Amino acid sequence: MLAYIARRLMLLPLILFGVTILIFIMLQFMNPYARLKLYVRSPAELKGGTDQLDRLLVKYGLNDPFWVQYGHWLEQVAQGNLGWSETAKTSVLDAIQNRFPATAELTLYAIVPLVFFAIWMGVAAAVRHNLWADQFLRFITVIGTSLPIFVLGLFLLMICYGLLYRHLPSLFEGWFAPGRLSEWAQAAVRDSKQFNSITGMVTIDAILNGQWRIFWDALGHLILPVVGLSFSGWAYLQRVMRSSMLETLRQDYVTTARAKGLPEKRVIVKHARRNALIPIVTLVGFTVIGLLGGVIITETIFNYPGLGNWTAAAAIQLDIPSVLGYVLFATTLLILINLIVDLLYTVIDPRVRLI
Amino acid sequence: MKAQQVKTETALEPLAPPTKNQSFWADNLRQLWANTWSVLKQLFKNPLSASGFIILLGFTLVALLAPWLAPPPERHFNPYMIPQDGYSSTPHPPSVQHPLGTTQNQYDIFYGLIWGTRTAFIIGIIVIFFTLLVGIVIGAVSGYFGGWIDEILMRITEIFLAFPSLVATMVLVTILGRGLDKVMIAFIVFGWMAYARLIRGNVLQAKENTYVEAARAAGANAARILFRHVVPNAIFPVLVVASLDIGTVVLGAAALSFLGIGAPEGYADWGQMINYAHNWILGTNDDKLAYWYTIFFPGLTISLFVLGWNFIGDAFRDIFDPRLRGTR
Amino acid sequence: MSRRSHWISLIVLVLLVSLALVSCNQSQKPKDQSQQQQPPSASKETTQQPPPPTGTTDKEKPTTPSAGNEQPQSPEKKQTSEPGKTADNQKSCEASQPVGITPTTPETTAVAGDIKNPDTLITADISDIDSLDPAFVYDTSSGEVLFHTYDNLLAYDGPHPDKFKTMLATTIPSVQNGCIKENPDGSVVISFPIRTGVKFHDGSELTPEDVAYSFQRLLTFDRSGGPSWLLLTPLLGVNSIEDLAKQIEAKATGKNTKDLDFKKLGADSLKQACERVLGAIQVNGDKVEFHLPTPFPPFFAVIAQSASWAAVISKKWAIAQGAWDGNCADWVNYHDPQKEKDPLYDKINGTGPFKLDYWDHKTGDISIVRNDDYWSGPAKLKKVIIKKVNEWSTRKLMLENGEADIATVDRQYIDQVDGMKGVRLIRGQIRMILNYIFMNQAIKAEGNDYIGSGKLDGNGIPPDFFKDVHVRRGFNYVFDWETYIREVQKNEAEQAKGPIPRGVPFYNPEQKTYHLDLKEAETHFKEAWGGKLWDKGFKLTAVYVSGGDDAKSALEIIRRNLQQVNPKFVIEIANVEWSTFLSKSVEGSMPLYLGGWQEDYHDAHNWVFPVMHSKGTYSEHLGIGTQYDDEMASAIKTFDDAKRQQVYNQLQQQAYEDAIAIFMVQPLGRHYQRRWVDGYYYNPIWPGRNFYVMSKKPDAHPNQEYIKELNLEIKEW
Repeated sequence: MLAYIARRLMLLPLILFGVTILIFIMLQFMNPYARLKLYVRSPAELKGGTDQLDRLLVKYGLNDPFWVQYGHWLEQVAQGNLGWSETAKTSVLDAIQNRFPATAELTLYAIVPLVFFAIWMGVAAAVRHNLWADQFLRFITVIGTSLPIFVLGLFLLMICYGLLYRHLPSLFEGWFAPGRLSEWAQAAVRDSKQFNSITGMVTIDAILNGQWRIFWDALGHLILPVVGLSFSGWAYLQRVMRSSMLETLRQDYVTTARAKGLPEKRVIVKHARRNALIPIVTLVGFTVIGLLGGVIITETIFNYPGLGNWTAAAAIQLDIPSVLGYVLFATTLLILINLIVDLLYTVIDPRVRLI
Repeated sequence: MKAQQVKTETALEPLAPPTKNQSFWADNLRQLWANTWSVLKQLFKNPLSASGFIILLGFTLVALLAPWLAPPPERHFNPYMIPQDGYSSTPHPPSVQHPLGTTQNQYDIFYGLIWGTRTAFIIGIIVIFFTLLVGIVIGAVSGYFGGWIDEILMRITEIFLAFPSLVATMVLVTILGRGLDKVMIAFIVFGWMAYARLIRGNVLQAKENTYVEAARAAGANAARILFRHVVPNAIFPVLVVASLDIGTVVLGAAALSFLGIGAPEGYADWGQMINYAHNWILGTNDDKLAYWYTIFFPGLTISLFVLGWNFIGDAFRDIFDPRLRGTR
Repeated sequence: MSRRSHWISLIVLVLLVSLALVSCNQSQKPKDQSQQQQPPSASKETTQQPPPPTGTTDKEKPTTPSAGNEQPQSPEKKQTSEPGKTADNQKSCEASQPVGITPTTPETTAVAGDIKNPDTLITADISDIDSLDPAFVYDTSSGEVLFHTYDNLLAYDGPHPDKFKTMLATTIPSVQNGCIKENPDGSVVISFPIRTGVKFHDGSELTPEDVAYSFQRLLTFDRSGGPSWLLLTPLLGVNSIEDLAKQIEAKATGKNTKDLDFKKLGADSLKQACERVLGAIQVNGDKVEFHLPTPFPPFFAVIAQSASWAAVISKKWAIAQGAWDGNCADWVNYHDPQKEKDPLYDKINGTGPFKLDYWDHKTGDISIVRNDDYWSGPAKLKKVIIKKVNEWSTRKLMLENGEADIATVDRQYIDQVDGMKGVRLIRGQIRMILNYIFMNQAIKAEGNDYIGSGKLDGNGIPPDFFKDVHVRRGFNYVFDWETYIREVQKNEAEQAKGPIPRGVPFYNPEQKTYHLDLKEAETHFKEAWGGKLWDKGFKLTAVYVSGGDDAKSALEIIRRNLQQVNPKFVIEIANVEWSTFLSKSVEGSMPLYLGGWQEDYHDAHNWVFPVMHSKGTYSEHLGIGTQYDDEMASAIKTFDDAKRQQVYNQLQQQAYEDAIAIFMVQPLGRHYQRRWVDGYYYNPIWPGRNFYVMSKKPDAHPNQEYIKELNLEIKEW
């Protein structure tokens, strides 16, 4: 198994190399002047005339052949410097460090209820196979997978801001608000004397600091993005859990357990559900990956200052160092999650061997 | 390619071997159709997928009948550009002239949704066709030849797979510039990997078949064997998977348009319609839901479309996922 | 069995947490707590008390009520009148007494009522701060921050864009008071006596050396695409310090400047270039002298407050941060750095009324706090937070519930804000912005898909299509200003009268303009291209940048009207990204496209140059040629206003007759604030708002004297 891990990890640099060089190759399809849009942000800044643009081309080496540009970038990375993120106005490394905790927090809050709900409802549906509850849940899940995040998000905003805010304004003194924290909470968190940022995830830090008001404020801001983010993933996971559960329910050992006269509830919980969870583990890995993609749109809609928000802006503005930084980070994360899932699988299901 | 000299009478399964008098593809197509038909029959029996089919049939009709349902005004050069009724930015509620109202900048929502249906199908079908093509070629070559070719192609596939897909398409579209053609290119470039892998797996199985051996023994060249004997046998499951992905592709393209980098402004595109609604969800001071129609109709349309595909896909998984077989 | 279930759930958790921990250095503790974050007892307690906003609660009655608010001398009045008067009285170019700093302890503005955050002003903007280095900044969002944290030599007087008052200089130089000296060779020396007793935020005192250093650093810094050219041009006659060094080298070696590579220039040429810079700005006792080779009338406008590039920084502090030390030997190392290598990128140490509090790169928010030692008296607000909120819905919500005191409202959405309770709208602000539709007279034809066939055959246009003045006039006659202003601009714009907007000196209010007239358009189109155009028709693609809804509508208006004139006149409208636009405009391949200009300094020259000069930002790519160059040159080298007026009138008339562009509109501004914001007024030159004169109180109103003078409209709900 160690050999397997080593082999997978050895592939990582190769893939990172391929992914990043792919971006540089893509850039070849672009006029170098067009790439200046990152540095000249509006027509109003074109004042120095073409001379200035040419100087900018030289300054950022945008006229060089792509392997030279790639070489420069690689050199930088080798020194532990991922370059400058024009979109975040910090170094790329800082930008990732600053924003990842926010995204991790969002993902975490999305995935925990998502997994538990999915398992619970999947089991519920399987046990009532083909009864109305099953059909109903099935209907809901199909609808769930059909509502795109950007439609659901806007509907949520419309309902919460448009309706709830009108009729229950007091609810908005901290709940469902956009962003990550209210202004007062942000000020408190920024004050390093009173608030010790340990993980960067505000809710957890708030608990560690014993600041419950901040905790609730952060939680209130998380609700909408979490709902928006987890909705479609939840539906899919529920479907898989249901079918996995149906399969286990027909296994011999379940029949045996029933034959032994064990109460049905016990059969389901102790014998069937446990085994039905196995395929879920893989899927949780995929779901995490899916969520990390989903945050791009969710964070944009809900104005949540995380990785996704930043990446979307960077991609649209062609902030290549940022995009490269994000891709390096996301790809590594993705490969690691996949590896962990594979390893977990062997632990859970001894029949599986990694070669 | 040398013509018509393969003799493969020995091979019988799963596709009928070409007989002397009949075109090979005609036979294969017949088989393919038989397979498809059996799937369709099962799908039609299922109430969910049947309703999915009905929904999609409705959308197809809308797409085909767009010029009659929402005739473009006179002197309107590109019917895909939504006509504007005036230039004011504030949306107007449904009226006789604009049955679903107008969205930001007086684009007619009804017109946009009707023609947007065409756009959706065009994107979905073209993207799936080409991703499939790329996937089939790469997967087949990789699976059939194996060895270092396989190794290289699969590493490349892995690299493409490792790319965060939304970011990748966003970057490529930004590089290529605004426009649906660019969006389609981006989706093709970053969409073929799953098919390639599927095909490769199937090809690995299919090439062990006896009739392939026979063809090889008869001295047919590799390309011929691959694309006349192996691929047709490996292609079916991938075809089904791919056709169900149309909904996903449409959704992806809509997401790009929603982020403001897909279709040109004013183009009949669902994602863009939702993008136009984005800044109007809060209504006015008197009526917090004053502009509900800007998001409601486009949101409903796109969800319904995806729902149609999902209904079918869901039932399909029930029927064909070996894990689920017989549970219904 | 049961053990296995624990296994699975544990593994799921570990998976999640490992994800979270990739960036976080802390290990186990947060995980454990994150899983049990909802102890039911705590939840009950906390939800019952709604999280109150910051600061005082409404119950707290202030001990010093409104009287306390009136007591501190209103600094803006003091500024507008007093220093101005001193300047008038000053007969010789001497330093006056420093303005006495009345040590007013800033009042804690505790206010009754439900004003949120009574001494903190929060704005919700789309702003994107670029940098905080005055030599780097060239955009209004960053400029607004520098406006409040740094001071300039001069400032604008109240709302007037053409009246100056003293700031760090104690005298407004003029020929009369001897601070401006014209030499026989035509060169000019302008000297500014520097105020004493002014302190930087770090406590050190301002010296004339700081002033000179700030300007010298600006000139050598010269970032590409930056603002340095604004002073390089009047002081050294070049657009870039690199050009200057190349010229020097070319002179020495006899080579052509075009063949020289700046990076390979000799050390000697570089040193000389720097010495030229030091020579142009010199310290003379308590004065700083600027040596101009020729008169440059708009000089004050280039350096007065709002010109963030001309802000005065502390030399000692800058060097300590790692900036250029003023030595000519190594200035190249500090020249045109990439942003991350600019030591002053995220630091501020100015003399202004506010200090930098923080710049949060996570959210893009920036906060400035009051400088209690400000030489002209402390500001009323304790703190200003400029929040970056790109989502319109969020900005609206913030303004609505008072979380933001001032919010940016795009024109499209004004209907959504009308009638918002507790909000005040002040509208009608004139803005120094013009929008144009350009007609390219020398289109690059190669590989150009915007001009169809490239011939006058009804399926395209020839590259010199717009060379014919009748075509250009015809296009002007089909544009419908009235509809455009009413529907697209929602009546918040005026038709432009030519290249110079209203409010800029030498603007000619009598200038004739075009108007919608399809008959007239027909006449001109029939005359164009010897009548061939009318028979054959044309087809071209007009281009605008994404996000410009109003731009698209403008082209749409032209498209429809052209169709009415002659159905063979076809325009397709293409929507491109800014990046594409950038490269296409350099290439010169767009036949018809939109552009805009926002002034750098308040002078007619800054307006005619970009659209009429052969080297102008826009005109360079429009094939306009050198026909107006000489006139422009003559007007910028004289202090004689009558002569300048005459030349600029002529240029405006030529712009009309030659129809060099469609001069669309000059947009008007609007300002939304909560009603508790006091003291607002504006000056079109400012990069943004002036928080120094603002405060928050129950009975608040804008600066009525100025509002009346500016003829602004106020709406309150």
